[in-house]
Amino acid sequence: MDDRTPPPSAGVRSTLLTGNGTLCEKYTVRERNVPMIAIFFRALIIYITLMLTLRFMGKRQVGELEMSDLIGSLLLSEIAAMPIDDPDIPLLYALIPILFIMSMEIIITFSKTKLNFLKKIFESHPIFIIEQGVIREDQMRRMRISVEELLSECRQQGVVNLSDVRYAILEQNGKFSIIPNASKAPATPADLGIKSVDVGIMHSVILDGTIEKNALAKTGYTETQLHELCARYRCAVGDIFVLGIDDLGHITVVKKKTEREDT
Amino acid sequence: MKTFIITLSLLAVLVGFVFVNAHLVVRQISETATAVAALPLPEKPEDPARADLSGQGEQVRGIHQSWQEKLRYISLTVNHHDLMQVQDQFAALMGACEAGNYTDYILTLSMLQSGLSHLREQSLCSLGNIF
Repeated sequence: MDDRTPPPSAGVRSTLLTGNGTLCEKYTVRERNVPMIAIFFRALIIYITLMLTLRFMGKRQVGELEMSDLIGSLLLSEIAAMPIDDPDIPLLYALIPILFIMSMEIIITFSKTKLNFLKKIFESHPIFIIEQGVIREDQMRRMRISVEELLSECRQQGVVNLSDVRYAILEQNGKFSIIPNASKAPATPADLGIKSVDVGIMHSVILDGTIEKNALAKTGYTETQLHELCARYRCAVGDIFVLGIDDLGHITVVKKKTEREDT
Repeated sequence: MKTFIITLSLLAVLVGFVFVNAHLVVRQISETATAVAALPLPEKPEDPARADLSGQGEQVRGIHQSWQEKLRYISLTVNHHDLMQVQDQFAALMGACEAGNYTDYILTLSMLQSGLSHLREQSLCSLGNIF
C-alpha cells in the first residue's frame, strides 16, 4: 500500500466487502452530480414554476416581453452557459433542455390560442385601473400600483390630470394604456373634417447600395424598373444610400456622399 | 399547425431519448458493476504485500476493456468527472493486481464497486435525482 494512503485499521479491514454494501459505500460521502434525465425534469419543473410564479407576481414584473419569452430567455442563458463553464459537463446536458424549453415555448403559446383553460392559467387579462373616469382602488391595491406610479404613467402618455383620463388599462405585457376623455383627446383629421390620404409605409428598396428584394417585391417594381428609376436620378444602384417607395408610389432618394464630399 | 406538430414530435423524441438513454446507461453500468462484483476474492495471504493476483488482474483488464467500449456512449450523457473517478479506480485496481498487494486490491475493488454503484444511482430516473 502507498505510504500516502492511511491503512484501514484491522477492525475496519475485516468488514471490507462484507454485508450488502462496500466500506466505501457505507462511509464515503460523494459529490452529487445531476444526471441528464434529472436535468430534463428539473427544466420542466423550473419552467412551469417560473411561468406560474410570474403569472401570480403580476404584469408589472413581465415588462415588454411575453411571459414565456422572458422565462425562456432566463433559463436558456443559464443552461447554455453550463457546458461552457464546466468542461466536465457533456454538451447534451445543455442541448436537451434547450430544445425542451424551445418546444415547451412553442407548444404552450400555440395551445393557449386553442385551449381556454391554458389561457387562464398562463395568461392574464387587461386590468382596468381607471374605468369610465373612476379610479378602481381595489385593482390598484391588487396590482400594487401607487397613485404616484399611475400619475407618472399618465404624464408619460401626455395626460397631466387624472380627471382627464377615461380609461387606464394595465395590459398583459405590464404596460399602461391611457385613454383620455374625448374632450382632452388630440383632434384627428376626421374630427376636423379633413380628408386624409393613407400613404402607408415607405419600403426601403435600396439600402447602402444594395437592393432589398423582399421590400422591392412589396412595391411591385422589378429590378429592371428599379435600375431605370435610378438612371432617372442620374445614378447607379451602388451610388444610392436609401431609396424608399411608399404605398402610393412616392419615391424618396438619398444618394451616397462621395469621399470627396465627406472630406 | 405545422410548427406545432413538428415541435410536438421533437418533444416526443426528446422525452423518448431521455428515457431510453437513462435505461441504456443504467444497463451498461449495471453490467460492469455485476462483472466487478463477480471478481474472486483471494484468501488473505500471510504477507498481504505478496499475494498472487495474476488471475484477478486478467479479469480486471477484461472488464476494463469492455468498460472502455461502453464509455464512448456513456460519456455523451454522464458527467465526465464521475467517469474519471471510475477510470482512476480501474487503474488503481489493475495496479494493485500487478503489484500483488492484497490490501490495495481489496480497497480499490471496494472503491470501484462504490463508484459504479454511485454512477448507476445517478443515472436512474428517480425522484431523489430530480429533486
